[in-house]
Amino acid sequence: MSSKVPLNKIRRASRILLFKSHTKPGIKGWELRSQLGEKYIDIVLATDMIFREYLGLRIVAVNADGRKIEIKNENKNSLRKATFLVLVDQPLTIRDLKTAGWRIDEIASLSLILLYLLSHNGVANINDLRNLLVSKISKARVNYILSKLLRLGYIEEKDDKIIIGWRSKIEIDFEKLLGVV
Amino acid sequence: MNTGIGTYKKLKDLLDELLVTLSKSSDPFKIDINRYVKELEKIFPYIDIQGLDIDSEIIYTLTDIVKKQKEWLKNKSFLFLLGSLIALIKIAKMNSEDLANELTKAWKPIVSLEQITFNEILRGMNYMSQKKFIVFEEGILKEVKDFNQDDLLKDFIKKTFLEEYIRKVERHLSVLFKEKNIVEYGVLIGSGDFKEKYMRGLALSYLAREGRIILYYDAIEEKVYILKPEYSNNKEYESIVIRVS
Repeated sequence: MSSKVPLNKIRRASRILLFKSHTKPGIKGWELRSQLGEKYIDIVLATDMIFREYLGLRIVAVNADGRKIEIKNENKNSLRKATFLVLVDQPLTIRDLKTAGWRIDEIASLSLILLYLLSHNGVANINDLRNLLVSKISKARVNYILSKLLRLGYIEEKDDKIIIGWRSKIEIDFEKLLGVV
Repeated sequence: MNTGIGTYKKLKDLLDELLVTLSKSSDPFKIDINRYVKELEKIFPYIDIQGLDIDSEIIYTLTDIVKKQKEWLKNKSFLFLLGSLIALIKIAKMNSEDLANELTKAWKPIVSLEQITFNEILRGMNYMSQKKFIVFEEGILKEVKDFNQDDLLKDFIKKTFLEEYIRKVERHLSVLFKEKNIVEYGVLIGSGDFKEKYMRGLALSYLAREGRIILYYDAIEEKVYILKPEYSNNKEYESIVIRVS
Protein backbone atom coordinates (compact mmCIF):
# COMPACT_ATOMS: atom_id res chain seq x y z
CA MET A 1 0.00 0.00 0.00
CA SER A 2 1.32 3.46 -0.79
CA SER A 3 2.05 5.65 2.23
CA LYS A 4 -0.44 8.46 1.51
CA VAL A 5 -4.04 8.20 0.38
CA PRO A 6 -6.11 11.41 0.19
CA LEU A 7 -8.95 11.45 2.70
CA ASN A 8 -11.48 12.56 0.10
CA LYS A 9 -10.72 9.37 -1.86
CA ILE A 10 -11.32 7.29 1.26
CA ARG A 11 -14.63 9.07 1.84
CA ARG A 12 -15.63 8.45 -1.75
CA ALA A 13 -14.62 4.80 -1.57
CA SER A 14 -16.64 4.36 1.66
CA ARG A 15 -19.69 5.87 0.00
CA ILE A 16 -19.40 3.70 -3.09
CA LEU A 17 -18.73 0.54 -1.10
CA LEU A 18 -21.43 1.02 1.51
CA PHE A 19 -24.29 2.37 -0.50
CA LYS A 20 -26.20 -0.31 -2.33
CA SER A 21 -26.33 0.67 -6.00
CA HIS A 22 -27.37 -2.64 -7.61
CA THR A 23 -29.93 -5.29 -6.77
CA LYS A 24 -27.17 -7.25 -5.07
CA PRO A 25 -24.86 -5.49 -2.63
CA GLY A 26 -21.25 -4.90 -3.63
CA ILE A 27 -19.43 -3.25 -6.46
CA LYS A 28 -17.15 -4.61 -9.17
CA GLY A 29 -13.45 -3.84 -9.24
CA TRP A 30 -13.73 -2.16 -12.63
CA GLU A 31 -16.47 0.13 -11.32
CA LEU A 32 -14.26 1.13 -8.38
CA ARG A 33 -11.37 1.73 -10.76
CA SER A 34 -13.49 3.96 -12.99
CA GLN A 35 -14.62 6.02 -9.98
CA LEU A 36 -11.44 6.09 -7.90
CA GLY A 37 -8.75 5.91 -10.52
CA GLU A 38 -5.85 3.61 -11.36
CA LYS A 39 -4.72 3.37 -7.72
CA TYR A 40 -8.10 2.14 -6.52
CA ILE A 41 -6.60 -0.87 -4.75
CA ASP A 42 -4.44 1.39 -2.54
CA ILE A 43 -7.56 3.43 -1.71
CA VAL A 44 -9.57 0.29 -0.93
CA LEU A 45 -6.79 -1.02 1.33
CA ALA A 46 -6.58 2.32 3.18
CA THR A 47 -10.37 2.38 3.57
CA ASP A 48 -10.26 -1.22 4.81
CA MET A 49 -7.68 -0.25 7.43
CA ILE A 50 -9.96 2.53 8.74
CA PHE A 51 -13.03 0.30 8.61
CA ARG A 52 -11.27 -2.44 10.61
CA GLU A 53 -9.65 -0.14 13.13
CA TYR A 54 -12.48 2.29 13.84
CA LEU A 55 -15.75 0.76 12.66
CA GLY A 56 -15.46 -3.00 13.12
CA LEU A 57 -16.03 -3.57 9.42
CA ARG A 58 -13.84 -4.98 6.69
CA ILE A 59 -13.70 -4.99 2.93
CA VAL A 60 -13.56 -8.29 1.06
CA ALA A 61 -13.30 -9.17 -2.60
CA VAL A 62 -14.99 -12.27 -4.00
CA ASN A 63 -14.63 -13.91 -7.40
CA ALA A 64 -17.44 -15.16 -9.64
CA ASP A 65 -17.69 -18.41 -7.64
CA GLY A 66 -18.24 -16.45 -4.43
CA ARG A 67 -14.79 -17.40 -3.12
CA LYS A 68 -12.95 -14.71 -1.15
CA ILE A 69 -9.72 -13.54 -2.76
CA GLU A 70 -6.87 -11.62 -1.18
CA ILE A 71 -7.00 -7.97 -2.21
CA LYS A 72 -3.29 -7.44 -1.56
CA ASN A 73 -1.96 -10.38 -3.52
CA GLU A 74 -4.43 -11.08 -6.29
CA ASN A 75 -3.56 -10.03 -9.84
CA LYS A 76 -5.06 -6.88 -11.35
CA ASN A 77 -7.24 -8.69 -13.84
CA SER A 78 -8.94 -10.87 -11.21
CA LEU A 79 -9.49 -7.83 -8.99
CA ARG A 80 -11.13 -5.91 -11.82
CA LYS A 81 -13.65 -8.74 -12.25
CA ALA A 82 -14.09 -9.32 -8.49
CA THR A 83 -16.97 -7.95 -6.40
CA PHE A 84 -15.99 -5.79 -3.43
CA LEU A 85 -18.18 -5.87 -0.36
CA VAL A 86 -18.15 -4.58 3.19
CA LEU A 87 -18.67 -7.13 5.97
CA VAL A 88 -19.16 -6.81 9.71
CA ASP A 89 -15.85 -7.81 11.29
CA GLN A 90 -16.97 -8.34 14.87
CA PRO A 91 -18.98 -11.08 16.55
CA LEU A 92 -22.70 -10.36 16.37
CA THR A 93 -25.33 -10.90 19.00
CA ILE A 94 -28.91 -12.00 18.51
CA ARG A 95 -29.91 -8.49 19.59
CA ASP A 96 -27.83 -6.94 16.78
CA LEU A 97 -29.54 -9.18 14.26
CA LYS A 98 -33.00 -8.41 15.66
CA THR A 99 -32.27 -4.71 15.30
CA ALA A 100 -31.36 -5.37 11.68
CA GLY A 101 -34.79 -6.90 11.08
CA TRP A 102 -34.13 -10.60 11.77
CA ARG A 103 -36.28 -12.76 14.03
CA ILE A 104 -34.91 -15.63 16.08
CA ASP A 105 -36.90 -18.23 14.12
CA GLU A 106 -35.46 -16.85 10.86
CA ILE A 107 -31.88 -17.04 12.15
CA ALA A 108 -32.49 -20.53 13.54
CA SER A 109 -33.99 -21.62 10.22
CA LEU A 110 -30.98 -20.38 8.28
CA SER A 111 -28.68 -22.16 10.72
CA LEU A 112 -30.70 -25.36 10.40
CA ILE A 113 -30.85 -25.24 6.60
CA LEU A 114 -27.12 -24.58 6.27
CA LEU A 115 -26.24 -27.40 8.68
CA TYR A 116 -28.50 -29.72 6.72
CA LEU A 117 -27.04 -28.67 3.37
CA LEU A 118 -23.47 -28.97 4.68
CA SER A 119 -24.16 -32.52 5.78
CA HIS A 120 -25.83 -33.43 2.45
CA ASN A 121 -23.19 -32.32 -0.08
CA GLY A 122 -24.76 -28.86 -0.34
CA VAL A 123 -28.03 -30.02 -1.98
CA ALA A 124 -31.48 -30.70 -0.53
CA ASN A 125 -35.04 -31.24 -1.60
CA ILE A 126 -37.29 -28.31 -0.62
CA ASN A 127 -39.86 -30.62 0.97
CA ASP A 128 -37.19 -32.22 3.14
CA LEU A 129 -36.20 -28.74 4.30
CA ARG A 130 -39.85 -27.85 5.01
CA ASN A 131 -40.24 -30.98 7.17
CA LEU A 132 -37.00 -30.20 8.96
CA LEU A 133 -38.07 -26.61 9.70
CA VAL A 134 -41.48 -27.69 10.98
CA SER A 135 -39.71 -29.78 13.61
CA LYS A 136 -38.10 -26.65 15.09
CA ILE A 137 -40.25 -23.61 14.26
CA SER A 138 -43.90 -22.68 13.76
CA LYS A 139 -45.39 -24.25 10.62
CA ALA A 140 -47.14 -20.97 9.78
CA ARG A 141 -43.76 -19.27 9.33
CA VAL A 142 -41.95 -21.88 7.21
CA ASN A 143 -42.95 -20.73 3.72
CA TYR A 144 -42.37 -17.10 4.54
CA ILE A 145 -38.90 -17.83 5.93
CA LEU A 146 -37.92 -19.99 2.96
CA SER A 147 -39.00 -17.28 0.53
CA LYS A 148 -37.14 -14.62 2.53
CA LEU A 149 -33.91 -16.68 2.53
CA LEU A 150 -34.30 -17.31 -1.22
CA ARG A 151 -34.97 -13.63 -1.91
CA LEU A 152 -31.94 -12.50 0.07
CA GLY A 153 -29.66 -15.07 -1.60
CA TYR A 154 -28.84 -17.17 1.48
CA ILE A 155 -30.17 -20.21 -0.36
CA GLU A 156 -30.78 -20.73 -4.08
CA GLU A 157 -33.06 -22.93 -6.14
CA LYS A 158 -31.41 -25.05 -8.81
CA ASP A 159 -33.12 -27.87 -10.76
CA ASP A 160 -35.91 -28.17 -8.15
CA LYS A 161 -33.32 -28.51 -5.39
CA ILE A 162 -32.10 -26.08 -2.76
CA ILE A 163 -28.40 -25.23 -2.67
CA ILE A 164 -26.25 -22.89 -0.56
CA GLY A 165 -26.71 -19.33 -1.82
CA TRP A 166 -24.11 -16.74 -2.86
CA ARG A 167 -24.69 -14.65 0.24
CA SER A 168 -24.13 -17.54 2.66
CA LYS A 169 -20.85 -18.37 0.93
CA ILE A 170 -19.64 -14.82 1.53
CA GLU A 171 -21.06 -14.12 4.97
CA ILE A 172 -20.88 -17.41 6.82
CA ASP A 173 -17.82 -19.30 7.96
CA PHE A 174 -19.07 -22.85 7.43
CA GLU A 175 -16.24 -24.50 9.35
CA LYS A 176 -17.06 -22.32 12.33
CA LEU A 177 -20.76 -23.13 12.04
CA LEU A 178 -19.94 -26.83 11.97
CA GLY A 179 -17.55 -26.36 14.85
CA VAL A 180 -14.56 -28.01 13.18
CA VAL A 181 -12.16 -25.08 13.68
CA MET B 1 18.04 -19.78 -26.23
CA ASN B 2 20.04 -19.76 -23.05
CA THR B 3 23.55 -18.88 -22.12
CA GLY B 4 24.84 -20.20 -18.80
CA ILE B 5 24.13 -16.84 -17.10
CA GLY B 6 20.71 -16.54 -18.75
CA THR B 7 19.72 -20.02 -17.57
CA TYR B 8 20.97 -19.28 -14.06
CA LYS B 9 18.95 -16.04 -13.95
CA LYS B 10 15.84 -17.75 -15.26
CA LEU B 11 16.15 -20.49 -12.62
CA LYS B 12 16.76 -17.91 -9.90
CA ASP B 13 13.66 -15.94 -10.98
CA LEU B 14 11.61 -19.12 -11.02
CA LEU B 15 12.74 -20.05 -7.52
CA ASP B 16 12.10 -16.52 -6.20
CA GLU B 17 8.63 -16.50 -7.72
CA LEU B 18 7.88 -19.91 -6.23
CA LEU B 19 9.03 -18.86 -2.77
CA VAL B 20 7.10 -15.57 -2.89
CA THR B 21 3.87 -17.32 -3.96
CA LEU B 22 4.39 -19.88 -1.23
CA SER B 23 4.94 -17.25 1.45
CA LYS B 24 1.79 -15.34 0.42
CA SER B 25 -0.64 -18.20 0.72
CA SER B 26 -1.28 -20.97 3.19
CA ASP B 27 -3.20 -22.89 0.53
CA PRO B 28 -0.78 -25.28 -1.24
CA PHE B 29 -3.18 -25.55 -4.20
CA LYS B 30 -2.43 -21.95 -5.12
CA ILE B 31 0.86 -23.19 -6.64
CA ASP B 32 0.58 -24.31 -10.23
CA ILE B 33 3.01 -27.22 -10.06
CA ASN B 34 2.56 -28.20 -13.72
CA ARG B 35 3.70 -24.80 -14.88
CA TYR B 36 6.91 -25.00 -12.84
CA VAL B 37 7.65 -28.52 -14.05
CA LYS B 38 7.14 -27.43 -17.68
CA GLU B 39 9.40 -24.41 -17.17
CA LEU B 40 12.07 -26.63 -15.66
CA GLU B 41 11.73 -29.08 -18.53
CA LYS B 42 12.43 -26.27 -21.00
CA ILE B 43 15.47 -24.99 -19.10
CA PHE B 44 16.85 -28.39 -18.07
CA PRO B 45 19.02 -29.09 -21.19
CA TYR B 46 20.86 -25.79 -20.65
CA ILE B 47 21.56 -26.08 -16.93
CA ASP B 48 25.23 -25.99 -15.98
CA ILE B 49 26.83 -26.93 -12.65
CA GLN B 50 26.06 -23.49 -11.20
CA GLY B 51 22.38 -23.90 -12.01
CA LEU B 52 22.06 -27.39 -10.58
CA ASP B 53 21.87 -26.14 -6.99
CA ILE B 54 18.89 -23.92 -7.77
CA ASP B 55 17.31 -26.61 -9.93
CA SER B 56 17.40 -29.10 -7.09
CA GLU B 57 16.07 -26.46 -4.68
CA ILE B 58 13.05 -25.86 -6.94
CA ILE B 59 12.42 -29.61 -7.24
CA TYR B 60 12.72 -29.99 -3.46
CA THR B 61 10.27 -27.08 -2.89
CA LEU B 62 7.80 -28.55 -5.40
CA THR B 63 8.00 -31.97 -3.73
CA ASP B 64 7.32 -30.31 -0.41
CA ILE B 65 4.25 -28.60 -1.88
CA VAL B 66 2.90 -31.89 -3.27
CA LYS B 67 3.35 -33.38 0.20
CA LYS B 68 1.47 -30.46 1.74
CA GLN B 69 -1.33 -30.84 -0.82
CA LYS B 70 -1.67 -34.51 0.16
CA GLU B 71 -1.79 -33.66 3.87
CA TRP B 72 -4.24 -30.84 3.20
CA LEU B 73 -6.59 -33.18 1.32
CA LYS B 74 -6.34 -35.82 4.04
CA ASN B 75 -7.08 -33.23 6.70
CA LYS B 76 -9.94 -31.64 4.74
CA SER B 77 -11.66 -34.93 3.97
CA PHE B 78 -11.46 -35.84 7.66
CA LEU B 79 -12.89 -32.44 8.60
CA PHE B 80 -15.63 -32.88 6.03
CA LEU B 81 -16.68 -36.23 7.52
CA LEU B 82 -16.43 -34.90 11.04
CA GLY B 83 -18.32 -31.74 10.02
CA SER B 84 -21.21 -33.72 8.54
CA LEU B 85 -21.50 -35.74 11.72
CA ILE B 86 -21.44 -32.62 13.91
CA ALA B 87 -24.04 -30.96 11.67
CA LEU B 88 -26.44 -33.89 12.07
CA ILE B 89 -25.97 -33.92 15.85
CA LYS B 90 -26.61 -30.17 16.04
CA ILE B 91 -29.77 -30.53 13.92
CA ALA B 92 -31.07 -33.30 16.16
CA LYS B 93 -30.17 -31.85 19.55
CA MET B 94 -30.41 -28.07 19.35
CA ASN B 95 -33.49 -25.91 19.84
CA SER B 96 -34.20 -22.73 17.84
CA GLU B 97 -32.34 -20.45 20.20
CA ASP B 98 -29.20 -22.62 20.27
CA LEU B 99 -29.24 -22.92 16.48
CA ALA B 100 -29.56 -19.14 16.14
CA ASN B 101 -26.67 -18.65 18.57
CA GLU B 102 -24.50 -21.10 16.66
CA LEU B 103 -25.06 -19.17 13.46
CA THR B 104 -24.29 -15.77 14.97
CA LYS B 105 -20.81 -17.04 15.94
CA ALA B 106 -20.05 -17.80 12.29
CA TRP B 107 -21.95 -14.98 10.63
CA LYS B 108 -20.42 -11.75 9.36
CA PRO B 109 -23.15 -10.07 7.32
CA ILE B 110 -22.65 -7.80 4.35
CA VAL B 111 -23.11 -4.14 5.26
CA SER B 112 -25.04 -2.03 2.79
CA LEU B 113 -27.23 0.99 3.28
CA GLU B 114 -30.79 0.53 2.19
CA GLN B 115 -32.62 1.53 5.33
CA ILE B 116 -32.39 4.43 7.71
CA THR B 117 -33.28 4.72 11.38
CA PHE B 118 -33.24 7.58 13.86
CA ASN B 119 -30.02 6.30 15.36
CA GLU B 120 -28.37 6.24 11.95
CA ILE B 121 -29.54 9.78 11.25
CA LEU B 122 -28.13 10.89 14.61
CA ARG B 123 -24.87 9.11 13.93
CA GLY B 124 -24.67 10.74 10.51
CA MET B 125 -25.48 14.15 11.97
CA ASN B 126 -22.88 13.62 14.63
CA TYR B 127 -20.35 12.97 11.96
CA MET B 128 -21.40 15.95 9.85
CA SER B 129 -21.52 18.30 12.83
CA GLN B 130 -17.96 17.58 13.81
CA LYS B 131 -15.86 20.10 12.02
CA LYS B 132 -13.01 17.79 12.62
CA PHE B 133 -9.74 17.73 10.92
CA ILE B 134 -8.87 14.21 9.98
CA VAL B 135 -5.59 13.28 8.45
CA PHE B 136 -4.94 9.80 7.24
CA GLU B 137 -1.28 9.10 6.98
CA GLU B 138 0.15 5.68 7.76
CA GLY B 139 -3.15 4.73 9.40
CA ILE B 140 -3.41 7.60 11.92
CA LEU B 141 -6.70 9.45 12.43
CA LYS B 142 -7.53 12.41 14.70
CA GLU B 143 -9.88 11.92 17.68
CA VAL B 144 -13.64 12.58 17.38
CA LYS B 145 -15.20 15.15 19.75
CA ASP B 146 -18.23 14.48 21.99
CA PHE B 147 -21.67 15.66 20.94
CA ASN B 148 -25.06 16.31 22.50
CA GLN B 149 -27.67 13.93 21.07
CA ASP B 150 -30.72 15.95 22.20
CA ASP B 151 -29.46 19.15 20.59
CA LEU B 152 -28.80 17.28 17.38
CA LEU B 153 -32.27 15.79 17.41
CA LYS B 154 -33.92 19.21 17.95
CA ASP B 155 -31.80 20.64 15.15
CA PHE B 156 -32.72 17.75 12.86
CA ILE B 157 -36.46 18.14 13.51
CA LYS B 158 -36.24 21.86 12.76
CA LYS B 159 -34.21 21.47 9.58
CA THR B 160 -36.30 18.70 8.08
CA PHE B 161 -39.69 20.28 8.91
CA LEU B 162 -40.41 17.03 10.76
CA GLU B 163 -42.41 18.97 13.37
CA GLU B 164 -45.07 19.65 10.77
CA TYR B 165 -45.29 15.93 9.93
CA ILE B 166 -45.35 14.96 13.62
CA ARG B 167 -48.37 17.24 14.15
CA LYS B 168 -50.04 15.95 10.99
CA VAL B 169 -49.53 12.30 11.97
CA GLU B 170 -50.76 12.91 15.54
CA ARG B 171 -53.91 14.62 14.24
CA HIS B 172 -54.57 11.75 11.82
CA LEU B 173 -53.97 9.20 14.58
CA SER B 174 -56.32 10.91 17.04
CA VAL B 175 -59.10 10.67 14.41
CA LEU B 176 -58.35 6.98 13.76
CA PHE B 177 -58.08 6.17 17.49
CA LYS B 178 -61.67 7.45 17.97
CA GLU B 179 -62.86 4.58 15.77
CA LYS B 180 -60.45 1.84 16.94
CA ASN B 181 -57.83 1.37 19.63
CA ILE B 182 -55.45 -0.15 17.13
CA VAL B 183 -54.36 1.32 13.81
CA GLU B 184 -52.51 -0.50 11.08
CA TYR B 185 -49.17 1.14 10.30
CA GLY B 186 -49.76 0.82 6.54
CA VAL B 187 -53.06 2.71 6.80
CA LEU B 188 -51.32 5.72 8.26
CA ILE B 189 -48.33 5.57 5.95
CA GLY B 190 -50.01 4.30 2.82
CA SER B 191 -51.03 7.53 1.12
CA GLY B 192 -49.06 10.17 -0.73
CA ASP B 193 -45.77 10.13 -2.59
CA PHE B 194 -42.59 8.50 -1.35
CA LYS B 195 -41.34 11.59 0.46
CA GLU B 196 -44.67 11.95 2.24
CA LYS B 197 -44.58 8.26 3.28
CA TYR B 198 -40.99 8.50 4.40
CA MET B 199 -41.59 11.62 6.47
CA ARG B 200 -44.67 10.08 8.08
CA GLY B 201 -42.64 6.97 8.86
CA LEU B 202 -39.94 9.11 10.39
CA ALA B 203 -42.54 11.06 12.43
CA LEU B 204 -44.01 7.78 13.73
CA SER B 205 -40.57 6.54 14.59
CA TYR B 206 -39.98 9.75 16.54
CA LEU B 207 -43.31 9.45 18.37
CA ALA B 208 -42.51 5.83 19.30
CA ARG B 209 -39.08 6.85 20.51
CA GLU B 210 -40.69 9.55 22.69
CA GLY B 211 -43.18 7.01 24.11
CA ARG B 212 -46.19 8.86 22.64
CA ILE B 213 -47.31 5.79 20.70
CA ILE B 214 -46.53 2.06 20.75
CA LEU B 215 -45.52 0.14 17.65
CA TYR B 216 -46.53 -3.50 17.79
CA TYR B 217 -45.22 -6.07 15.32
CA ASP B 218 -47.40 -9.10 14.58
CA ALA B 219 -44.92 -11.71 13.36
CA ILE B 220 -47.52 -14.14 12.04
CA GLU B 221 -49.34 -11.57 9.92
CA GLU B 222 -46.12 -9.67 9.17
CA LYS B 223 -47.93 -6.43 10.00
CA VAL B 224 -47.10 -3.49 12.23
CA TYR B 225 -49.78 -1.80 14.34
CA ILE B 226 -49.91 1.50 16.20
CA LEU B 227 -51.33 1.60 19.72
CA LYS B 228 -51.87 4.27 22.36
CA PRO B 229 -49.05 4.25 24.95
CA GLU B 230 -51.41 3.19 27.75
CA TYR B 231 -51.82 -0.22 26.05
CA SER B 232 -48.19 -1.07 26.55
CA ASN B 233 -47.61 -3.97 28.91
CA ASN B 234 -44.07 -4.46 27.89
CA LYS B 235 -41.34 -2.96 30.00
CA GLU B 236 -38.58 -3.74 27.53
CA TYR B 237 -38.28 -2.04 24.18
CA GLU B 238 -36.37 -3.01 21.13
CA SER B 239 -35.84 -1.47 17.71
CA ILE B 240 -37.55 -3.00 14.73
CA VAL B 241 -37.02 -2.24 11.08
CA ILE B 242 -40.13 -1.29 9.14
CA ARG B 243 -39.83 -1.10 5.38
CA VAL B 244 -41.53 1.98 3.88
CA SER B 245 -42.01 1.46 0.16
